[in-house]
Amino acid sequence: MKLDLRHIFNSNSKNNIEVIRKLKSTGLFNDFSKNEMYELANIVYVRYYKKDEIIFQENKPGLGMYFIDEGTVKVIKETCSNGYDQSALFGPGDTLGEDSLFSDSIRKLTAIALDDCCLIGIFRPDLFDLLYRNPRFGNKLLLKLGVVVSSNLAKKTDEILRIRDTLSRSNIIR
Amino acid sequence: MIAQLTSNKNALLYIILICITFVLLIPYLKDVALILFLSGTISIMLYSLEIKFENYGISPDLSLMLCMISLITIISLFIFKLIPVYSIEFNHMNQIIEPNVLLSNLKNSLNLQINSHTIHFLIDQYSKFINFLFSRTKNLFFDDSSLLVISITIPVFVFLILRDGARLKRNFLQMLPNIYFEPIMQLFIDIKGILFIWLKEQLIMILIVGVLATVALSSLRVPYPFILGLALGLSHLIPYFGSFIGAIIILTVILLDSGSILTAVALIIALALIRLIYKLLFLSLRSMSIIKVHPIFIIILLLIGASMWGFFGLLFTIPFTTVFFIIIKQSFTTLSDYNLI
Repeated sequence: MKLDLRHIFNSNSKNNIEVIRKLKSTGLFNDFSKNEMYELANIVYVRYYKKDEIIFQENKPGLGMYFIDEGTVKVIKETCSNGYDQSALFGPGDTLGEDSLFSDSIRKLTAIALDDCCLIGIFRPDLFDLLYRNPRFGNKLLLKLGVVVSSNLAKKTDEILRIRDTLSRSNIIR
Repeated sequence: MIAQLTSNKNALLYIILICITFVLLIPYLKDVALILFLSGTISIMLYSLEIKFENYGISPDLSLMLCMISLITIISLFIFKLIPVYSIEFNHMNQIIEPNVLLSNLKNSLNLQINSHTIHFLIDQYSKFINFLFSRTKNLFFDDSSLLVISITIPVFVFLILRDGARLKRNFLQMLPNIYFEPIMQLFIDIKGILFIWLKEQLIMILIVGVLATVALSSLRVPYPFILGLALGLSHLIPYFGSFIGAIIILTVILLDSGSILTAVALIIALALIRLIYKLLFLSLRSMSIIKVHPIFIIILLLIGASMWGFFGLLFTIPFTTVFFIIIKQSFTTLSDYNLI
């Protein structure tokens, strides 16, 4: 991706319509008003990744989370205690790197685009800025993101319980 | 992958080239640099005010308008109330700073029986240096045309930065290659945070020292209290030697104008007290040393600044350099966290 200086003075209005369409396609922000969608479109970034391109890397500082709009993303843990890489696949509608949105932490996983991807990124500074500038909408958005995080957590808990059940059935753990 | 790496290198090369060109142009475009520096400083300060307004439920457009009204009011007050006072004092002060007048005044005020050629030569050199600084300065600060240009361009620049700054930053980030996107975003936040703290600290310091000095000078019936108070406040922008340089300037003017040693002694005590108050007030703020530079480096910078821009250079070279150093230092810190450097 080359640095294209032609678009630095572009107005956001044209891009925003496309961003709003992408945001609506996630299904999360259906109850947001038109103005709120514009406000949200002003703080998110649409990023395009080519196949095998790294989205974020383990042990590097993280600034925010991504919604997958198009494509498939592989998430791996490079420094596993057993020495093996572990990976998971994420597709459209899934989210990545939520933990970095709420705290100043390093990335715990590496995310790589498996094919050409389009991701919508929302970042901590913009979110905090919005919370301060427009607390009403900021809190509404925060609540939505909280729903995303808690739903992911619930999925992970289910997964852990399922694995635990499988392991205990196989008498590997009690 | 190779093509991508090449394009990333090209992008980085563009950014470096733009930065280098900008830095190289600054010495030749001092007025532009001053306007950009002042506009940037005011914008950073007004941005926090704008956010405060929005936090109270005022719409972004109205918040921007309120900020601009505040700025224009302050500039108008400055132009119509303070600048005339400063200008009169400065012009009058400038008239008495002539090498020959200075020499004879110094001789008379200090009541020296100068026979030694060395002392004569030293005072002559000192008077030439002071004259040189003033001659370089009078066309920068209080020239009517530049004042008019600055008073019009700064509000326009500030308005554009406040209105479009976020969009320009966003468009710039959007254009960056993926590998630099998050690091540069982090870098912007870090630099903005440090610059905001540093600028706020400097402005509060100038205000406190300037007001205290003006009050002290007026109480002691020293001539030109406003311009000298401002000079002392601004001189504190220089680390280590700032208060000393400010005191030397004030004492020179007092000795030239009234020649009263008693006033000079009283003023030294007053300046020491101001220094004490300032140190006590800034004990907590100054504890966070943003940038540490060796005194020798500061002297070199001061000499370069003074030789290029007179008093203006003496006062503003260090802040300019500090801002530049903050950006460079933070760039290395942040980008190395991402293993890009």
